[in-house]
Amino acid sequence: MSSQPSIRIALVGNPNIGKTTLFNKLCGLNQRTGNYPGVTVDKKKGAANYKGQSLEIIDLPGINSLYPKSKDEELVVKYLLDTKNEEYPDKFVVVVSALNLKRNLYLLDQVKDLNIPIVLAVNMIDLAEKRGIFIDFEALSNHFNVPVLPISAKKSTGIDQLKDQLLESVEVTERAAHYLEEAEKDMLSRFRDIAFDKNDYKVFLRLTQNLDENPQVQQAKDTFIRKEEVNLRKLRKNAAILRYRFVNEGLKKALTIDKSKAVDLTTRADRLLMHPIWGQVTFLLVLLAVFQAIFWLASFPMDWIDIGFGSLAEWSATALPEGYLSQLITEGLIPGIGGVVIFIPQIAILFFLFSLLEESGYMSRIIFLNDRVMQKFGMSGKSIVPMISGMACAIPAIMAARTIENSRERLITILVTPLLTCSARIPVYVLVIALVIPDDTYIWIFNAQGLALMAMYLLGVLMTFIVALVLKRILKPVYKSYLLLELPEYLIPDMKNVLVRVWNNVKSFIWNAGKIIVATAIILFVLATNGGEEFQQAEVYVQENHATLSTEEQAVFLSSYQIEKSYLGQIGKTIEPAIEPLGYDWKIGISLVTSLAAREVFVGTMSIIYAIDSEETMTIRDRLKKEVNPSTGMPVFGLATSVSLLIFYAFALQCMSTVAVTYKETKSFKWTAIQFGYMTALAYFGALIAYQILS
Amino acid sequence: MTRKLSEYMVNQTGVIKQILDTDVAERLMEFGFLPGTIFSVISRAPFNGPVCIQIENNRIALRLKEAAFVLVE
Ligand SMILES: Nc1nc2c(ncn2[C@@H]2O[C@H](COP(=O)(O)OP(=O)(O)OP(=O)(O)O)[C@@H](O)[C@H]2O)c(=O)[nH]1
Ligand SMILES: [Mg+2]
Repeated sequence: MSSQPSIRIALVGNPNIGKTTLFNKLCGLNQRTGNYPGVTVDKKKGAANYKGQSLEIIDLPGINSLYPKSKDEELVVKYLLDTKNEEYPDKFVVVVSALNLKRNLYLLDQVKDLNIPIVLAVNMIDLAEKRGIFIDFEALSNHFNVPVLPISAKKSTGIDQLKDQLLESVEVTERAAHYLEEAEKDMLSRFRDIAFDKNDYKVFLRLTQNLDENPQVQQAKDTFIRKEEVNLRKLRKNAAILRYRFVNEGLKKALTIDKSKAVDLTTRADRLLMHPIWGQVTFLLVLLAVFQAIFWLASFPMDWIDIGFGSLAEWSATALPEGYLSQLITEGLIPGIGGVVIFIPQIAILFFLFSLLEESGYMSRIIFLNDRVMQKFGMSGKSIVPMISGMACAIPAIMAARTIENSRERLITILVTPLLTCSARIPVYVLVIALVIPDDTYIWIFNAQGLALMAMYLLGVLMTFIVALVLKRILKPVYKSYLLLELPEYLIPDMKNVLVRVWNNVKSFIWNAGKIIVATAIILFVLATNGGEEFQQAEVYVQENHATLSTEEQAVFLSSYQIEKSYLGQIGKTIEPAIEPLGYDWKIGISLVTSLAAREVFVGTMSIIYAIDSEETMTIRDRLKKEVNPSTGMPVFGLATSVSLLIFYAFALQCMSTVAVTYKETKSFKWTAIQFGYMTALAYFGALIAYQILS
Repeated sequence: MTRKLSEYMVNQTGVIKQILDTDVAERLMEFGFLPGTIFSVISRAPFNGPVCIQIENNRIALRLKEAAFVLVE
C-alpha cells in the first residue's frame, strides 16, 4: 500500500506508433491495438504499481499535430492545452516510432513548446535494427533537451527503464521560439496582450487556430488580425518549415540509415495488393473467404453445441425433481442460453479474421482502393473502417467514425453503419433460413443456406449504400473533404494479440446477451405460466368443450390454450393487430418486443415460448417447423413469414446500445431519432411488402 | 518545368518544389510534403481514385484534388 498520491502520466504521439501497445504493457491491460492509424478513438485510463509508487496511465488517440482535423484529434489537443484542469497529467510520454522519426519528432517539437514535463520513448527498436536504422539516443536527447528511452512495446524491452525514468522528476526547460521569424515574434507579443498566456506557443496556437475563445477575446482577435494584416496560413506554413528544419538538424546528428539492409517487403506486396485491378480482385477474394469461413467452418462446432444443449435439457428434465423450478430450468434457462452459446463459433471466427485484417496493415489499403467509390456515396474511404467493423458490431464501429475529418461524411457513416449485418443478427438469420431451406441443399458446389446468409449480408450492404446516397442528396456539404492517410508497413499479426481480442469479444457477447436472456427467460416464464381466470379454468374448459378428443390430443390442446390465456399470451394478443399484416403471430410478436433491447434475444425468447408450449424436448428448429397456424392449418413459418422476418431483422434498429452510442457521437437528438425512425420504417414496410407479395 | 504531383504516373519520381496555399497545405506539410523532398509514385487507384506516394520510408495516400496542390520541379 502506498499513501503517496499516484503520478498521472499520459501517452501522446502520432497514430499507429504503438501507444496502446505500450499502455497495455504498462498496465497489464488488453486494450485494442491494430496496424492502422486511428485504432484508439477515446481516452482510456489504466493503473500500474511500480516500486511502491502508484501510476495512473492515460492512453490517447493518435494526433498528427497540435492542429486537430478530426474529432479524435480534437479531444487530444483539448486535453493537452487544458493545463488548468485538476486532472492534468504530471508527465507526458511522447511516443515516437524509430521507423518514422522525422514525422514523429515534428509532433514532439510542437509538444515540447508547451513547456510540459516530457519523456521521449522511441518505440519499435526491434524493427529498427532489422531495417538498418541506427539512432544515437544521446544526441537526440541533447538536441531536444528531453530524456530519451529506446523501447519495444511489443517485445517488452526497455519498459522498466522507462518506468524508472517516470518516477524521477523531469525538468522543464524553456527554449527560444525557433518556429517564428523575427518580425513574427514582435507581432505575437502584441497579440499576447489580447490572449494572455504564460506560454508563448499557446498564444501562437490561440492566434492561428479557432480554439473556443470567449466572444470578447474572439472579437479582439478578429480586429487584431484585420488591423495587423496577419496571414494565418502563412504563419502556420512557415512554422511547419522551421520546425522540420530543426528536426532535420537533430536527425543529422542522431540518425544513420544503412540502406542496404532495407528489405522492402511492403513495397513488393503493395505492387499486387494496391494494383488498380489485381488489388480489387484480391480485396473481393478476401471478403469471400471471410464469409465462407464464417458459415462453413463454424457449422461443425455449432452442430455439436446444438446436440449438447438438447441432451442437457433432456437430462435435466429427468434428473431434476418435477416442479415449477425444474420446468423453469429445462424450458426457460437451458434453451435460452443454448440459443446464445451456439453462435460462439461464428462470432469467434469473425473476430479472428477481422483481427488478422487489422493487425496486418491491409485495412489502410482497403481504404485506398475504395475511397473513390465511397465518395460517390457521400462518404470517405475512411468510412470503410467503421463499415467493416460494423459487420461485427455497430457500437465500436460508430465510434471509429471519429477519425473521419469531414463532418458530413462522418454523419452519413454513423447513420448507415447499423444497416450492416452485425454479429447479433447471425442467430436470427441462421434460424429462420433453416426453416425455409432444408439442410444439405446445394446449388452447384455451394451450400444453399450459406448462400442465403450471404444474400442477407448483401441486402444489408445494398441498403447501406442506398440510404447513403439518399443522405448525400439531402445533406449539403459544409466543408471540402480530403483524404490524407499514412499506409503502415505490413506486420505479421501477433497471435497472442489476436486471440486475446477474440476472447474479449466472445466473452462480452456471451455476457451481454446472457444477462438479458436470463432476465427475460425468468420474466417470460413467469408470465407464460400464470394467468387470469380463463388460464386457471383451462383444464375444466378443455374437458368440457373438447370431450371428443383423445386424452393425448386434449393434453396438446390444453398446453397451447393455456399459453394463449396466460399473461404473456394476453400481451401478445394485444400487439397482434400491428404485426399481423407482416405475417407474424403473437409469439413472434413477443419475441420482437423482447429483442428491442438486443436482437440476439429473439432466438432465446422463441426457444422459451415454444419450450413451454410443448410437451417433449426437441431443438428449437424442429419445434418451429412443426408450428401450425390454428386457423389456417398452414405452417406458421412458411416462406412469406420467414422472408418477412428476415427483412425486418435486416433493417430494424433493435439495439438500445447503438441508439445510445449514436446519441453520444452525434450529440444530436434529431439525428438519433432520424436513424431510429428511418430504420424502423424500412423494417416495417419492407417486411409488410415482402409478406403481402409472397403470401 | 513545373508539373503537378497529380500528373505523375506509377514509378515516376520527382522533387517537391512548392505547396500551394490552401486549407490542406499545412496538413500536407505535416505529412512530410516539404519543398526539396524526393518522392515516388507507388500506385494510383482506379477511376481517378487516390494516389499513393512514397516519401522517405512513408507511404501516403491522397486524392488527386490534393495532389494537384503539390508542385514538382
Ligand atoms: N514490431 C513492433 N511492433 C509494434 C511495437 N509496438 C507496437 N507495434 C505494432 O504497431 C501497431 C500499432 O500499435 P498500437 O498500439 O495500436 O498503436 P497506437 O499508437 O495506439 O495507434 P492509434 O491508437 O491508432 O493511434 C500494432 O500492430 C502493434 O502490434 C513494437 O515495439 N515493435
Ligand atoms: Mg491506440
